[in-house]
Amino acid sequence: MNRKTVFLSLLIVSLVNFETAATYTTTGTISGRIISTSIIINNQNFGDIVANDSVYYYWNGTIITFVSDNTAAFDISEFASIDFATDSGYVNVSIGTNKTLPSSTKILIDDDNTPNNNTGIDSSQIQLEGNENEAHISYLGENGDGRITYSADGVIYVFINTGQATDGDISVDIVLTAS
Amino acid sequence: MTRIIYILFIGFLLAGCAGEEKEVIEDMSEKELINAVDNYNIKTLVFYSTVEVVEKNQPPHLVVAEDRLDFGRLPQGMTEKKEILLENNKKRTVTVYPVSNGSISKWISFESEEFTISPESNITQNIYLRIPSDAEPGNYTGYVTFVIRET
Repeated sequence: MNRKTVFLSLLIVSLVNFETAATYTTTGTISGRIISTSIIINNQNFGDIVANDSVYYYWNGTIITFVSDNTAAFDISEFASIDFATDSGYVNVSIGTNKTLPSSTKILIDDDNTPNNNTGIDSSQIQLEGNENEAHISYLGENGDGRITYSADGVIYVFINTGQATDGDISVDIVLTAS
Repeated sequence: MTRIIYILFIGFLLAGCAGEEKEVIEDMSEKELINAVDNYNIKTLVFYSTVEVVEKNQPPHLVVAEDRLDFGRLPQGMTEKKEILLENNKKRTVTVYPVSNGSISKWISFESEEFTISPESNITQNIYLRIPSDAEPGNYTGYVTFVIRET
């Protein structure tokens, strides 16, 4: 008699729970992952620099100084650094709201500390150039997609070459998107 | 014999509770019923969030990771944006409410305060971290939680 009651009550419990769960509970998951990181850098102030198309200006953490083309700037301060959790990735370079750049002046965004105007020598860089005093991307990197690819954690350096410009302001927002 | 009595007692207790719950459920309208069931289907996605604030003249250090909202090392006054992909593999639409807490939360904002994801689809949302120009240098931490309700 007691056993029958136990079985009956357990049966009722299981039936009630099964009915509720089967009707209103769905399966599947909801997941999330971060797919990109972006910042706008416009805080590196180069101050007044002398127009000289044969040198590349850079910030060494204390002052603005310069090197010649294809010469390593050993004391250059990084523009940004990237820690890739998967030890590789890419940085996409684009231009933000502020894009004032004298015509023919170039900004080199490089993954190494040696400026090379010739992209045949160093293809792993992005070049911005002034056209009618507005910055445009004139070299989109080795794959033509505006990206610099990293096989390990990386650093970004920036050089400025005044080109044929003799005066003018430089105020360019450089947008870095890493993934 | 004692075991049988215990089982009998628990069986009646469960049966009684289930019966009572069923009666309550039966008295609800369909909308109320769905809302009530939804209350048991709230889920969360939690991301640990951190940033180190440094002086303005320092270069930023970005951290690129899929599973944590590590904003790296940012100078005062800088803004960083992280894009997150949320995937709903359920066969029902879900509503998502992002919230943040901890010492980092005062600088975190979301693209949307509430959004929905259709069944078996995904959506991308931006999370912003804006460091004030006068922020005290140091480490700030917290959590970003996506509260998810099936609708």
